[in-house]
Amino acid sequence: MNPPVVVAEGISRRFGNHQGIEQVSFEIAQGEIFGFLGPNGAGKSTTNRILVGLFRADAGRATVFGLDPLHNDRQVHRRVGYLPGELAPYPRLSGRQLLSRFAGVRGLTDTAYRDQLVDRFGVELDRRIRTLSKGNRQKIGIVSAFMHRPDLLILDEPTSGLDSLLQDEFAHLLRECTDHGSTVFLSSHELDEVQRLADRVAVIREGRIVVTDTVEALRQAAPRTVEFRFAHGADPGRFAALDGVRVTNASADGLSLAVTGPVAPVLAIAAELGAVDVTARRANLDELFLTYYRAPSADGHNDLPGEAADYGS
Amino acid sequence: MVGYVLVIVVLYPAFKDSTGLDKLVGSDSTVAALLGVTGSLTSPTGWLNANIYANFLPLVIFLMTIGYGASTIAGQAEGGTLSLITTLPLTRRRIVGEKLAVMGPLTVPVGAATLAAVLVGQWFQLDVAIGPLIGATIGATLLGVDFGALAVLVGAWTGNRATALAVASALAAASYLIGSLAATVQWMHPLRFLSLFYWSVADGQLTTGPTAGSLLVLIVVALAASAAVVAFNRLDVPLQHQRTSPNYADRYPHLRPRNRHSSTAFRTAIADYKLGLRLLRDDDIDGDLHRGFRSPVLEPMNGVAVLAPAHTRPEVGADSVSMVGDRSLQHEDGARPAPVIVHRAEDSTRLKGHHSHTKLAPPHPDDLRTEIHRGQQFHRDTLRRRQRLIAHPALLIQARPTAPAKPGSSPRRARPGWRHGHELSTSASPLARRDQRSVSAHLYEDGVLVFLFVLPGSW
Repeated sequence: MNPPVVVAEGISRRFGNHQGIEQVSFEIAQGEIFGFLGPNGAGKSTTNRILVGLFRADAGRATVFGLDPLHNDRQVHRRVGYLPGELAPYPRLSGRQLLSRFAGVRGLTDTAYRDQLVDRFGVELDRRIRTLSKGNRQKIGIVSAFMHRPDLLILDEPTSGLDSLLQDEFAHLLRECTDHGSTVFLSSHELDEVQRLADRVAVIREGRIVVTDTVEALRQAAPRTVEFRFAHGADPGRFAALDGVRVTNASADGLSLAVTGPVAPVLAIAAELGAVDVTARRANLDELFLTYYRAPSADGHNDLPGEAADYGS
Repeated sequence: MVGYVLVIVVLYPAFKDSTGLDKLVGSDSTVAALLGVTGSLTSPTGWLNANIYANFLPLVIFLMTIGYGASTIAGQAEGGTLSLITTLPLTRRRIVGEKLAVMGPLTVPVGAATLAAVLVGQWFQLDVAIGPLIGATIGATLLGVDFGALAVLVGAWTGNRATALAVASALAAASYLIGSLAATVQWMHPLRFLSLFYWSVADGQLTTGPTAGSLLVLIVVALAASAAVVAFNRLDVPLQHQRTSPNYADRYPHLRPRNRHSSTAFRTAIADYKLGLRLLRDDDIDGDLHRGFRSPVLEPMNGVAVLAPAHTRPEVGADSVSMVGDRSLQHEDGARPAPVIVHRAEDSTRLKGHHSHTKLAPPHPDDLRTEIHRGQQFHRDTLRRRQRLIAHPALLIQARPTAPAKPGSSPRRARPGWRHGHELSTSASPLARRDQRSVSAHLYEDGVLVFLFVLPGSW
């Protein structure tokens, strides 16, 4: 097996009093789309920037292709396509000028692939960038990140500003790249996007990774809502005592439970207590991520995500 | 620049024999020194020195070099452009190197033009030795490059353009004062070696030619440049001014990142206020339209596409699309929001499910002034490009007319009724007849900001 393309080992970065990221660790294998999901300000862009050598890490080690992105920046940048979250190209240049300059710096002479990308995304090349809308600017950013067929793509909110047709086109493009052996690091706050595109996901909140797993496993770990109605009422305590079960609502004749993990024990108790009706709702990833985001972080410990992840794996 | 130098040169014969001028200078040499005058004012070199070389020429060069130096790294870092460049396969050393090298093409034309203009003085009795003249010109140019490189250095060190400007300008000013006053003010005399002015133009270089001291000026260039490389190597190329996405924040308001250190209501108010203002930025138009709970469908109104609230939106797969008429707004290049003012919502039943924009609670009027100016500028731009306005009737129906149309006045002169969004958008450049001030005055007095989406008038 190939060595991992990206390795982050306990990287931390602080900005004054403000905690940027702390002890962030993950590995990305070749050909993988790795989703990096978290709310704004959680440290996604900071991590991105450390990987691409724009920021130093205070502690820990990040390697890309086995190289330090700060000290071997040229070697790393040659093989990386980076799309910053806040794209700010030279406003006075046209897209064509900008792309040809970047291509020049990269020593890219064959523009066939670039032209193909321009065509696919309908990029407006001949107007000055400052007159372009955000979506059109983003398209130029995408072309400049992909045009040299990089081995690693580091993408920060890549589809912001794109309409849904182009988002689909972008998804195809990512798949093509991974089919050719490229690796993708995809940051986003959009669960839908990550869920659709990524193979594996890390969730970051307030600078710490709370879970890393495959999308499928996360889906299994997502809490299901199970509601029971009882003829004579029931003691919620018996359900609460079970592992991975949380009583979300208890009324005189019914109970709502959030169940993570197998439902058999729950059903057994419900049967014993004489449930007259049961409703179960499909696992909802949205819910799961809200739990991750919401969980308290007073001292960096929160039991919920760990618990959920255990069930998932 | 050339014009100024030529005037100075041509004027020389008129002042050449003015002994009064020399007496004036002679009687109070400190004041003269403050103006950069040392020695005789009426000698050719004294004249050039006092009027051009000791003050004006360095100042002009500083304007360019310090301005450029501060914006080339720090400014681009703040703007976000630098992160694109830094992630190209170039060493940071090369990036700074090229940026420093640009200082040459920037300053050389000024030096050369000045030199050429002064040489015209040959025909106006302004006889100066050419060698020292060239030397002093090079000295002045290098002086500018020095402080420009310094600005690059401070900018690369701090990543802050304003700091770079301030530090470099302050040091240049101090250097100027020391260099010119050291000749007459006793206690400053020993300090003169600290001043780069002394080494480049203030030590009689026009008369005697550049000395070995000019070498020092060069060395400073080299030192500042290499320090800038080191500084840039350790610079965190920052994020562009960080924003929370309105989309996300609105969908999950409780998930907005909590800052442990800014829990006071005051700070929250400032943050919200800033968020409100940021919504005015053109970048946000897409985010605004994609807001989860709002229905962003645009439908035609009197044949003109209008951003209107609706209860459903077209769905392609799981994603919804924002539409202008029958096309996606994102396919409209140059779509931008324009701020106008309307009154508070009085009749919320007409809003058809539109949730009023809590972020747009009016900030203090004083704070709005800059936004008003921006709005005015934008309106002017709109006129120039003959763009079409698309109104958001959900908000416009709340608006009251800015003034009742006078009976008898021509329809063209009548102010379009704000009550009806479509009137605003039916003419190609409706704002042509709108008093910009009345728009901004409303913005100033009270009420809520509204977005108008402006698209090229190509329907």
